[in-house]
Order: sequence, then structure tokens, then C-alpha cells
Amino acid sequence: MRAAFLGALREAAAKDDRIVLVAGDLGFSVVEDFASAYPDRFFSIGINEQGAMGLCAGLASQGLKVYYYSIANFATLRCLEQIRNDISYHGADVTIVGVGAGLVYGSAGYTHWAVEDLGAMMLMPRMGVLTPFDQVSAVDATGVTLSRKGPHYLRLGKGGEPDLTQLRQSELHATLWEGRDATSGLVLTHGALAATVVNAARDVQFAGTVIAITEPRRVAELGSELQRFPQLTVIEEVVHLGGLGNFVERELLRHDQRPQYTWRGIENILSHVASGSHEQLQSVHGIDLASIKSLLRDLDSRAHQRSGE
Amino acid sequence: MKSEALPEGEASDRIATAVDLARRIRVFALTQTSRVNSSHIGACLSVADILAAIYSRPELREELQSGSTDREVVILSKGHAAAALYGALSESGVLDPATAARFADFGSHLLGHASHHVPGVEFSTGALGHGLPIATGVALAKMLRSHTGIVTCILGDGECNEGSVWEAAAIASHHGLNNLRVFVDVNRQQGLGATNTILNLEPLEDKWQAFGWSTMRIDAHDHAALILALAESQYAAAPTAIIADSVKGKGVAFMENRLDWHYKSPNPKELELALKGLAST
Repeated sequence: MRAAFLGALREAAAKDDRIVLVAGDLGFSVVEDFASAYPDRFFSIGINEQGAMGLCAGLASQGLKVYYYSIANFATLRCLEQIRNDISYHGADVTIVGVGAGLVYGSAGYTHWAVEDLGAMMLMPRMGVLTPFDQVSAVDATGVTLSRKGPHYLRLGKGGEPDLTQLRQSELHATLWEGRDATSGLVLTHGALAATVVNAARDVQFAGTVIAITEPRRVAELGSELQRFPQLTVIEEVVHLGGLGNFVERELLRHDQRPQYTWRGIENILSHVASGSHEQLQSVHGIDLASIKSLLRDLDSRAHQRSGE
Repeated sequence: MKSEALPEGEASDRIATAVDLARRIRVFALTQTSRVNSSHIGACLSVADILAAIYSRPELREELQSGSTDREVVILSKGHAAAALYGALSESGVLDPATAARFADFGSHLLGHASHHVPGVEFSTGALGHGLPIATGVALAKMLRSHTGIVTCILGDGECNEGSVWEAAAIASHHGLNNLRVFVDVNRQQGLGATNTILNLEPLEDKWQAFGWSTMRIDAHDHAALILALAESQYAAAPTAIIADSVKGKGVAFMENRLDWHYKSPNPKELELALKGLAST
């Protein structure tokens, strides 16, 4: 996703000289193309997230279209007040690009696991939050930030995400799987985890539908769509508060008729603060391939039971 | 904005104009903070002369009104001195006095900390340490886009406790932003006491120099020195820090150097006494 974003940005920068990229001393082996193509519009600003985020606000105020690139936790939590006061409040045309969403940094450890960044950005007024799931959707999401003016958070994986077939899409979602009984149940997910969910769906031949949400803030716009399904499940690689599930729940509570709802994600990030690969850490939290397959089988059998009533 | 050595007559005219504006800023800040019972009068009074030196220049007024990308950009990073800033904007003709008179009223844009919804205010501030990074970004953008106009950022001395100030200082000198200058209003008081007892950062000029800045140290209430500082920093080879020694509560004898006037609001009797004192200067 990172390379896709940077490639799209580089292409756009050829036609729009307002675009600048500010990198927080990160992006080794990925930012060099942009930096060498546009050396006067690339700033390797150093390890100084608060100073850098204020600087981005200042740059944007003078008509520049700013992209700040760093690891997800550093780009968001370290400078949250600057994002709130200097970027969000002023409606600054700044896109914060957070890399390594979820547990993908694996044995790098707790400081690098980005599981609250989504919630933090969802809390910021006016912040457009974009959660692509593969290279194609990352390019689309980059396009969204290019076509709109104002603050955005572009949440990316670390790399190697396989491209997923999109059966249908809109600005805020992409349908990635439809089973033999598509309306029997809906699974919502986002980010790089979408590939695991789709693989699980294929492996167990999940009867229902899998949709990746690419603009979680706007999930309320899918209100009527969500109501079609008797069963709704959210699977995500973040903590519950402030995540997609939280926003979906809020939407569901507006209606008297509610689907059978399940949330699967990181219940307690401190339950396993030990080393492990991305997949191993996912398995601790029940969001690896095996756990999701098991969940989908269970969802199918519950849906089947209900339809037999 | 061109600046050459001023002929003596012109220099004294500019000083007189700035001194008068400073007095009117003080009157505005005292009257308004008293009216709405709000804090920070001590901080407003210490920075009044710096603001007057900046906003008494007719060139700046014209630039603000034109909204040109080549205008000087002034950022009050010590945003709690908002009443003084609004006073400077109102008394120099940038902000309509009727609007200014509604400081901190329900529904007014003139919030207790500098608000960008107010004509002439470039950025909302109030959380310390934010203004200099923003100013650094503005200066960097001006360099990149070949926009002229200096960027002036006003900090408090307590504010220099904030790490983000030094992140910006390092970035500014590394990138050669000589179109950036800072005033540090050194009134030697912060939230819970004297700055040198809470977190001593003196000598301040040494620290700014260590970060690659050009520095000067002046009396924050000496208008001849302020005019000279503004002129010299216009053409510096590096970003400039003007360390300005001030008196918290300056201009009102019973408020000077008193920590409680960071928080208290003058009651009607105190206001009358303060205004009387200013009228006789």
C-alpha cells in the first residue's frame, strides 16, 4: 500500500506543484523516488512529530497540499494536540499518512502496534479517515485526498498486501465476497485484514457477504444497507473504542430492528505483550486466518438455524 | 517591506505612534478583561509594547487588509494575551471596534485565546508551543513559493519550556529560514511562580544561539529598541530571536511583577485606578 500511495502521489505531483511530502525520518527505500523527482517538495524533517505537524499546518496555510508520512502511532498519537488544534480546527489541507496499521510491526513490539490510531483520528473533527485494503484501493484513497481539500488520515499497511477482487464499490466501501446466500449475513472489515477475511470466507465458503469499509466515518450512510442483513459482524485489527464496530453499533442503535451483531477485534491489547510475527499476534487476539474461519463457520451455522425457525 | 535607517524626525514620530498605540492596547485589554471577568491581563500588559511596535506600522495594516501572500504573517503563540492582540488589531484599524467590544461575549468570535475567526488573526493559539512550528511552516512555504514577507512569532518565556518550541527552532535554522523571527516576552513569571524557580532557561540568548539563531536582547518596553530590532531582523542571515525583557503587568503600578495578575481580573475599582494611571503617562 505504501508504494502504491507514493506512486500515486508522485504522479499527481507532476500536475500539481502545491503537493509537498514531509517525511518523519521514515520511509527508507520507499520515499526516494518522490524525493529525487521533486527534491524541493520533499522534506525529510527529522524525528519531531509535534514540530512537524505544526509545520504542516503552516505549510498548508500558504496554499500547499501537504502529506506527512510516518509510522501510524507516531504520526497520530505523538502529535494529537497539533492534529486537533492546528490541522483539524483550521481545516488544513494536510493528509496524515500512517504506515503499519494494526499488529503488522509484530515483534517490534507495543510502541509500534497501531491499534488506537484509528479511534484517535475518528475523534478529530472534520478528519476524513481512509482505510484502504490493498494497492488498488490505496491508489483510490490517495485520489480521494487529492480531490478533496481538508484534513485526512490515510491508514496504510506495511506492504505485501495482495490485490483483492472488488465485486462492487463506492467511495466508502468495496464488496469483496458474496456467498451462496449473500443476504444471510454481512461481515464488515477494513485495512489489510480484509485479505485474511476474504481468504477465510473462500476457505469455508462463507454464505454471506464480506465488505471492506474504506471510509469508516461515513458508515452511517450505509444505514439502510446494513438493515438488510439479519446478521452483522465487524472484524477489525484495532481496539474496540473508536473503531469501525463502535460506529456501526451507534448506527444500529438508531433502529428498533437490529441484526444479530458480533464484534471481533482486539479486546485487550495488553493481554499479550510479547514477541510474535504478525500472524502469531493476530492469533492471540482471534483475528488470524484460522480464528476467522472458525468465526465465519459459526456465523453461517447460526444464520442457518435462524432461517430454519 | 523596506526598512532603512530612519531619519531622526521620522524615528521619533514612529516611536510616538507606537507608544500611543501601546497605551490604547493597554486600555482595551484592561477594559475588556475587566468587563468579562477574564484572566491574563498581566501577560497582555507585558506584551503590549511589542504588539504596538508591530501593528503601528501602516505597511502591515495595508498588507493585512489586502490579504496578499507576500504579507508579513504575525502569530501570537502566547495566545492567552488575546485581549492585547485584539486591542492592537482594533486600535490600528484592522478590526472593527464594535466587534472588538464584544470580547468573550456569548457567540463572539473574540475568544479568550487568539482566534483565527477574528479578522487579522492568522492562527488560533492558546495551547503553548504550537505557534513556532506553525510559523516555521509558514516561513518554509514562503521560501518554497518565493513569497516575500517576514514571519513574526511572539512567544512567552514560560512557553519556552515546551519541547515543540525547540523542535521548530532546530528545523528553522537547519532550513535557513531567515524570513522568520521570534519575540520572546520575558516577563519572568509563569503559571505557578517565577520562571527561574520552576524551569530556569537562562541565559535564553545562549540557547537560541545554540540552535543556530541570530539573537538580540532588548528591553520589551523601549520603543526605539523595538523599532531597531524589527529593522535588523528583517535582513538577518539566520532566523532571529529577539529576547525582550519585560515586566508582567507593565503600565499598571499595582499589577507589575505580580503573579496573581496572570489569573485575576480587575474589578471596577481596580480598573478605574489602572486607567487613571495610564492616562497620566
